[in-house]
Amino acid sequence: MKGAPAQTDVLIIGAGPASLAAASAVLGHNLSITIVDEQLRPGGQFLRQPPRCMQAHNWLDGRLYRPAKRLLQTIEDHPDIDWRFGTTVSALFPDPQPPGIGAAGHSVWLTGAAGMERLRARTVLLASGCYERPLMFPGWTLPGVMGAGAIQTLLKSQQVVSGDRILLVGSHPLQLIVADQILKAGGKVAGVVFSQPALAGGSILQHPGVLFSHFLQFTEIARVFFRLRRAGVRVIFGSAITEAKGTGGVLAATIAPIDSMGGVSGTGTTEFECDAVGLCYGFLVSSELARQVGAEALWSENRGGWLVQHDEWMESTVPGLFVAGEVTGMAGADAAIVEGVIAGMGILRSLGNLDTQQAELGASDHRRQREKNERFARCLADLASPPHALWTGLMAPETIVCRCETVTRQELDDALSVHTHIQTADALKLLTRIGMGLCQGRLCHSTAAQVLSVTRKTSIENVGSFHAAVPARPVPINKLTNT
Amino acid sequence: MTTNSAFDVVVIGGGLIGCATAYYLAKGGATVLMVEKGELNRQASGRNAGSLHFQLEHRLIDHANGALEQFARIMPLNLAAINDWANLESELGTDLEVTMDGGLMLAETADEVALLERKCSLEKRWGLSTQLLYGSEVQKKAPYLCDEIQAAAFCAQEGHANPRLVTIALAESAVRHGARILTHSRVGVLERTGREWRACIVRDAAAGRDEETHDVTGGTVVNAAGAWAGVVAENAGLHCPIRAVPLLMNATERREPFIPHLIQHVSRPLSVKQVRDGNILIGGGWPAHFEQRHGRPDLESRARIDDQSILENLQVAQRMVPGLASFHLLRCWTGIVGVTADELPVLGEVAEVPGFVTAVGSSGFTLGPTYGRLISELILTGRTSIDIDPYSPARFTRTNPIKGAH
Repeated sequence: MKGAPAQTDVLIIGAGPASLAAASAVLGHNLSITIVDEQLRPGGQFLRQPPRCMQAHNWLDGRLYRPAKRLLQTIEDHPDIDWRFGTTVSALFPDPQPPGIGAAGHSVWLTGAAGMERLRARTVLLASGCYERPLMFPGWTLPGVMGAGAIQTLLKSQQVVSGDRILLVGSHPLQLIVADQILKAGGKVAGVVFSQPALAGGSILQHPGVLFSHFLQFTEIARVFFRLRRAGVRVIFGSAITEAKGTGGVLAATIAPIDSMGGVSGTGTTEFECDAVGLCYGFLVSSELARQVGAEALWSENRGGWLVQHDEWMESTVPGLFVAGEVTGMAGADAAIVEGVIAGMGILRSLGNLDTQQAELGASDHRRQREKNERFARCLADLASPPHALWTGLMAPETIVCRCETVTRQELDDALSVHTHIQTADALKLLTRIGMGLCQGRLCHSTAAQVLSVTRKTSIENVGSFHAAVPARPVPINKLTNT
Repeated sequence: MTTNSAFDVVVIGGGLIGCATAYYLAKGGATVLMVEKGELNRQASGRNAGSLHFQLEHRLIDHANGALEQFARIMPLNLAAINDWANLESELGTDLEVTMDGGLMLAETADEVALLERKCSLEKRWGLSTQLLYGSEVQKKAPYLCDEIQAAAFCAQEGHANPRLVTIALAESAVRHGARILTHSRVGVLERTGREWRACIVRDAAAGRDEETHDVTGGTVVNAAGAWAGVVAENAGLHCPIRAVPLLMNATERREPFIPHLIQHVSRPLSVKQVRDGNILIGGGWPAHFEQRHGRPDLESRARIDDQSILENLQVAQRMVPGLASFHLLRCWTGIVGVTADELPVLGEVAEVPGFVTAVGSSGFTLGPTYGRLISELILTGRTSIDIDPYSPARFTRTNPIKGAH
């Protein structure tokens, strides 16, 4: 163990758009700022950068990326920020003796190549983003079944196309953008399959205000849609993937129409030849660190699962812990930037660098923008989500729910029918080992909770989440003991 | 609850001790209601590391010399527990991952070796045979241990069982023998009327129904509420001198088996074992912290993790078992145990308050099935196969009256 832990005024977890915006807002107030990210360069998933040694031609030249790219250019390599790349926040603890007057304070374990360092922070901004939400169906664990976002990340950061013939299935318009990027990179798209009926997109016309305020997003998506059509890519509506076939890898995928109950009947199926499947059924937010210290989180099926609750300054229910970006509810990069600025103002206010009036002044425009963003995000969330019944309706008894611990749907159903006393996700975990593996339940927690809530006819809030345990990610013991 | 509200015994607490008591009572023919405020096996019973330790533990040894003799009075229960654990899987007809391949208590310094020797000779007097191994003998028995270990006490029967499974299996067996189990239900006021206890039971509101209140009666009430036993006793107008202590546990990723034994240390809190699934569990009694609520420790919230405890616990474990260095730490959690001032359990009833039986304290996992068996003997036959007088609540009546309003 090294000597006394280092201290920082503002610790920002994540280096995506929300974090970069918050850092920009906080800079120039003579505060020490530390930004931690697992990647080697800033930008987050949205602006996923190639390594410095590589040059990507026309990197993210779409119009949607412009505002965030401008932000990235102004702040990358800023000398007044202590950048910690390739570093994970393994745990967040309330600081029993917070540094500085009036500060709540937290301490964190930072783990990187060199080992573990403890850092004390007067304020923390958690902007840890989200990850792709898996949909479980027979064959979802076959190599070649990936998140559409993972396919996109490989394209953005490495210029790698993940297969020779890629089928995209999901409910989120992101899959159109990914299909477009695959084509641009020289890949083949076997098809794009939406769970929504063809006219669902038109329901946005019922929200003219949203359409107007986010016109760019809609026109960009429409433009991409017609580009795909011109390229001969099949776009199918009202269907879902029911099986990925193959041994040792994907050879084909079965698509079936969704019925009026939101399930699949199994008739009228179509088979696609493909060697990769990109799933695009939405996202789950990475709220583990906030939940680890007891911040209140509420379940939202369409906005990303357990969303961290916050006040008008983006401060969570744990004093000194601020949140911005997707962890507050899926809303995209532009919304994350706005929240980052508000959180920055909140942090300056809580540290006494601004009084409330000054902070309000800095935040007011962004608050108005945030309201518009929220309306858009709510609209998009409803439009971009599959029918509720799909989450639990596609699994066969032998389908694996927890791939780390190889727990099948049948095992869950058996446990719940034998052990009628089990009412919570944590109790189900203790009995079946679901969620006890290396991914710490990130992939299976929402499905486990949904199976439990459907079986017990109760809400996800009653079922609860898996307890967000320390460490946030598995970490070798010798890193923690620095030996 | 509409069918029957009169039971021979009402057991309070759905942990290992409560479920074991309910099982042995129901098997013996009693009508049993077991009431649990949350879910079965969700507190210390399901959160401990499942050690089956029969040697005197570090926390008992680590006191002045006279106290060691006093703590050694636990030994008759430890000896009984060896048999109970050896038979539990066949008794319940299910796999509990009981492993009794031996346990080693380690000593690194000359002082620790002397302590270990004194402990072993004391255990021998009580009838537990532990084998002292020195230097290379330790390495031969357990080549995965570090070279610096000077001596180890080997107890052939020690090992571990899976806390995820034991309590649940006991509960299911109890139900098969006719016991009723109510979860998400709290026992409120307990009143003695004539020859029986009247208990007010409040069942939490849930989807589709409001909070429900029932009165039940029991000839006997068993307080098996662990760290919450004090609260239950208060509801009966009694005092149970149990202190809640929050502790830390750690689990690593799964790997091929390489630690067949239970590992403890003679002067540091430490337990290390590898479970059948391949995870290594590391614990031994490192402290956690209660959350505060209205300025008091909050027993209803999970205890908060102490980061220094994790690091020190891992350091000791890695020093003893160097191969742990590359294992990923996967999960840390806390649990709340109930502890008495003299480290011995509270077992039995006091003459002044007949029919209120307490079963809490000491090593609740290792000794839980034994407590359950002995308490059921007491209730069903009026006597026990092992003398439980040394553990009687009566020992507290003078200093800290267990008898209150009655």
